[in-house]
Amino acid sequence: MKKGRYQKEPPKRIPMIMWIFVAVIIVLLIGVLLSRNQGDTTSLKSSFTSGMDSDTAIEKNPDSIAIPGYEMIQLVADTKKQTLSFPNPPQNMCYFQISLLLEDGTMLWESDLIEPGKTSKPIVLTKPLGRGTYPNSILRYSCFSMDDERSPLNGAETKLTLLVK
Amino acid sequence: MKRIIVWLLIGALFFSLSVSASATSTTLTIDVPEPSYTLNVPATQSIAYRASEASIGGVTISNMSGFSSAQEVWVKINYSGEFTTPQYATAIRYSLKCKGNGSDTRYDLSSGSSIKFTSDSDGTLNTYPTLADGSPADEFIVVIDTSCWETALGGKYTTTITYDAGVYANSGT
Repeated sequence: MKKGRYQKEPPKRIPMIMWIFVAVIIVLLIGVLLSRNQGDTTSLKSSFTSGMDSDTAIEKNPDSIAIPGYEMIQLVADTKKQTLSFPNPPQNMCYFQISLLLEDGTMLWESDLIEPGKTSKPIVLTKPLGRGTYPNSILRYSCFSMDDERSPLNGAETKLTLLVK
Repeated sequence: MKRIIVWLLIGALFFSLSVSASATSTTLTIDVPEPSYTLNVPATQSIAYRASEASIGGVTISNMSGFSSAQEVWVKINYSGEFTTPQYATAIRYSLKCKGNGSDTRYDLSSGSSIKFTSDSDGTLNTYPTLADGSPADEFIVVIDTSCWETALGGKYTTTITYDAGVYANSGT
């Protein structure tokens, strides 16, 4: 049959795959826009570093006790279990027993004896802390001889701020 | 109708692209680390019987990082002033003094007094401390009250010194 002069051609159908393609692109673009518009969250990295380099030979120092100090450490709010642990530097020749206290003397955590070159188990607080900062908290280092007597040695306390988030 | 929908979708696509392009920004972040350090304090020392004094070394600082020139470390020295033994009530009294390396001038270091590690303009802490007034405190000396030797009963006498450290704003002294 011959087509007439004014006979319309049947409308071309857009393939379904094209619709899916367009929909996917739009969804992706919306996703990109949403992710860009989200505010950047401030990530305060824990300043906790062991200061140990496993590749270098550590020289023991019998005349001195190395005490790690921090100005601030970060804890997780509303939970007793934390991921943080504390080291006894490898150059030491004594055990550490480390305690974490609030400014008012509330004991938050106390470690077992920690050998030189080892770190404590991840700390488990005696009570969960709410969000906030806790200035003038105390990290107490009690040092003990490594002989059978476990005699107390010179100790140290370092003041720090707990940042609980 | 379908043609209209297609044009609407294409328009939406270009609109999204233009919004996306206009919202492009560069976020600059600076992560300033918190200060950390290692305080090195005198370890176990044996003092000779009837000695009038003995050097026990000093307090130094190492592995410091994250300090600014406006920060310094203060260390308060606490001690009982007595060597004691669990066997007897007798005690051997002592006091602490400090001095600079290679110097004979001694300064009192009473219990509760503080030494400080000041920072240079680039934030590097000085390895050796000073007293609050700036006098050097590189080396600590135990000065024993010799009269106590006459009355001390036989036994092992011990004492401990505690060092309370913290990071503080520069005192400007």
